[in-house]
Amino acid sequence: MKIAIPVQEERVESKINAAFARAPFFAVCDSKDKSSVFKSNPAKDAESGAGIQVFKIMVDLGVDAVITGEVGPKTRDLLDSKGIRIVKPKRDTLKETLANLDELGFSG
Amino acid sequence: MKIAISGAKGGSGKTWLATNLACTLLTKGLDVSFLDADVEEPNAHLFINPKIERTERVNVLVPQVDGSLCDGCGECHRFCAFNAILPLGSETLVFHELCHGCGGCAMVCPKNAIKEVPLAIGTISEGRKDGLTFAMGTLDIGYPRPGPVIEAVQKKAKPGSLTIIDTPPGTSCPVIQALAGVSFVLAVLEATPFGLSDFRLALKMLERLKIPFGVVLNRLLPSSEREVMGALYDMRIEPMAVFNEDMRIAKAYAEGRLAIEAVPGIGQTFERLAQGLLARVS
Repeated sequence: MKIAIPVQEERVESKINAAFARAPFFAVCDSKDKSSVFKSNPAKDAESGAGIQVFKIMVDLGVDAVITGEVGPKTRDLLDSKGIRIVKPKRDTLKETLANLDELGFSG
Repeated sequence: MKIAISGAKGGSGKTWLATNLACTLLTKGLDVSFLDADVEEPNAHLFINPKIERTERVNVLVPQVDGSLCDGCGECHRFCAFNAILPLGSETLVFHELCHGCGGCAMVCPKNAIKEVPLAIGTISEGRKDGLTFAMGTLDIGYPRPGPVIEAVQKKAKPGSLTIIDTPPGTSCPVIQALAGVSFVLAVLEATPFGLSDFRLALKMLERLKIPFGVVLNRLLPSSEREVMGALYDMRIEPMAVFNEDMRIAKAYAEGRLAIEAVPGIGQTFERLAQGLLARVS
């Protein structure tokens, strides 16, 4: 399963970014082997509609779920419409979150 | 001649000043128009009580996508700086509240699948009161961009009249729009630390826009007199009028009454302000 997580820095020790669509980077993770690829977020400083642009990126990446604390109402509706799961994180960092994916209901 | 009442802080007394001033100018026999450009919460009509004779809707143009022509290439999405249009396979989503109506998406569409259609976002109401020409804009609830409604209300001034414009608070786009074409601004300074802080922002805006202005000091209390007067002195500003904090004014305002009619003595201050203003702008 492909999971996108908004992060502050391009490293596994990075903290998860509180906001979704305005995060500097996304970690695109594989729930099986816990690997992550980092993508910079072109919508970070968008004038408006950052969530819409990020949603498009998620669709193009073929993401199945996102792990994020905050997500805007429009973005939430769009993600729901494509069946992309929205899960709240329980840990502060990307590393800890990936090590404990089972507690968020991801079976691997 | 257009004169705007502005000055940053909400609650500083813009509408109060604008309505009382317009009615003072009217009693001097002048041809006066009043425009309520505070379209997110227009309330000047409560004090002027005009008879509304006409209303019209204000439209902006938004894209409409013909799904039979669209091949989902995404050119429109890549063009739009506001992310207002999003092709998703067979359907294209348009987010009206983000669209600025530039028409760029229709221009770049290689399939000519996009046409621009009107979307109503607000209402202009026009009327009269004792020879005063009145117009107000009301933005529809839920639509986030007041600019086009403000632009529409600005066109309702009677040509050749002395026009008083009540602007929105703040120093952002709606205020800038409301100040377009204005010859003089009366900036209302609420005599509090918060009022003073916002007033400084308003002055920066007016200096950037190069619009001449005068200052009206409102709701002055003995406890704040030293700080506010000191600050004005430092800025080399002498207020054109000073109104003290006065429960009678607040009471009349809460009842929807003009202070010049409800509170003894206030009419004279407005009379002097009107004379000073006419001397400054003529």
